[in-house]
This record gives sequence, C-alpha cells and structure tokens, in this order.
Amino acid sequence: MRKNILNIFAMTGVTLVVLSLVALCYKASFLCLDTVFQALGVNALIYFGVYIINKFEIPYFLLETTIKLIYSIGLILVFGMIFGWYSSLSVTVLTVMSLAILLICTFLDTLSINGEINEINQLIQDK
Amino acid sequence: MQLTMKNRQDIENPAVTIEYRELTENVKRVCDFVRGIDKTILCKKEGQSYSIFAGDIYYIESVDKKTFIYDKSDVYQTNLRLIELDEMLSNVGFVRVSKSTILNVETLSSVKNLANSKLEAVLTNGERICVSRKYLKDIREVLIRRNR
Repeated sequence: MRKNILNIFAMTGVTLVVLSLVALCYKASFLCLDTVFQALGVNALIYFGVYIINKFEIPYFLLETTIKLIYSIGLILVFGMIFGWYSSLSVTVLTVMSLAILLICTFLDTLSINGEINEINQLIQDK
Repeated sequence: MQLTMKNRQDIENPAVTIEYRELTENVKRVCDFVRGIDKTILCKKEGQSYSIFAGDIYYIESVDKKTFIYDKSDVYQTNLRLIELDEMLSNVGFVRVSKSTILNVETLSSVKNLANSKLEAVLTNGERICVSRKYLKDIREVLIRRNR
C-alpha cells in the first residue's frame, strides 16, 4: 500500500514538472493550487486503473499497452473537460503532455523493475 | 545454525534430527522444509501413475483447467488443482510466478526483463517460463527466506 501511494505521488510530481515546463512555454508565471490536487486525483485514478488492467495479465504486449494508453489518455481528456483544462491547454497539447508523462513514468518503472530483477539474480547467486 | 552430516551405511533412508534450545522461526522453517521435501504428488503420464517428489518438480502449470507438473525433462498431469498445490508446496520453496504457474525456486537460474516488458525465468534445465511482474516481490521474499 505504501509503495502504491509513493508511486502516485511520484507520478503527480512528474505531471507537475511537465505541466510547469509547458506553462513556461506559454509564458505563464504560476500554477493554481487546485491544479495540484486535480493532478493528484487523476493520477490516482490512472494508477489504480492500470493496476486493475495488470491483474488480468494480458499475454499480448501491444494489446495491453494499447488498453492502458486508451484508458489513461481517455481519463485525462474526460477530466480535462470536467476541470476546465481546455481553457488554458488545447486537446493536442494535453494529449502530448499525457504521452510524455506516461513515457517518463514507464521509464522510471522499468528502472525500478530492473533493480528488483538484479536483486533477485544476486539472491539466486548467493543461495 | 550448525550443520553436521554423517554417512551411515546401516540405514536405508536418510533421517534428519534437529537439535534446538528454543523453537524459533528459523527452526520451524527448517522443519517445514524437511517435512515438505519428502512430499509426493500423485500424477499420471500416458496412462501410468507416478509419485513425484516435490523436490524434483521444476514448475507446475494450469492450462485449460488441467494441471501439469514439469520435472527436469518430463511432464505429468495431476488431478490436484493449482491452488491446492500452491498451498501444499508454499512452505517448501514453491512460489507463484503468474496466474497459472508456480515455480520451485531451487530450479531458478536467473530472471530476465524482455524487450516487450515481459519477464522470463530461466530454469536450471534451460527452460524458460513467463513471470508476471506482480509476483516479483514474492519471489524475492522466498529467496531471502531461503538464503537466511
């Protein structure tokens, strides 16, 4: 449970950094506080949705990745409407941002998995 | 924990005696392991029945509601369900590695991360089986307990 919470906060951190970079490109000078909590909430929903998708253990990598992408980006676009993000960002920019965040999080996740695998292989060598 | 081994020609089957001052978790683990290593599972292959020692099993897989037991070079079928075998063998070094497979960690040679983000366990007989990432933590815990 603790690891899940940390992962959600990490994803939110990455989201806020990417959002800040995009905001800088638009010459913005601040982020609203409610944006922080909106990002946290949406990231939590994405995280748990992906967790449930992983439970099905889909054997086809492309299918699994497509489902996760459609779910994540779909959720972001829907909440974009609910929270009024389109008043400051276009759908295209929001989609590209989402892809960037998902790529960064996937990369960080891969690093974490590789760390676990190295530890397991070391334990196998030591037994 | 001190290990003493004696080669005795006057006995037929190996016997294990565990001497302890206090029944600690480690002592209980050794007892469970010794009890479990002699566990046998009734299986069938080509109409013939066999009793397979748990220690000789490499992995067990469930396919189309049938349970198959793999040793170093053969495959057998058993009437027991995967979940029953998982409960029976969980304290003798078996761990679930996917929804349909449990693995004897003694036969694990390495774990690899494949390009398509799937994981693969390479066994000591060269076989490769898929590992689901959600069970990595369990594999790690069984190995840590084993190595203590």
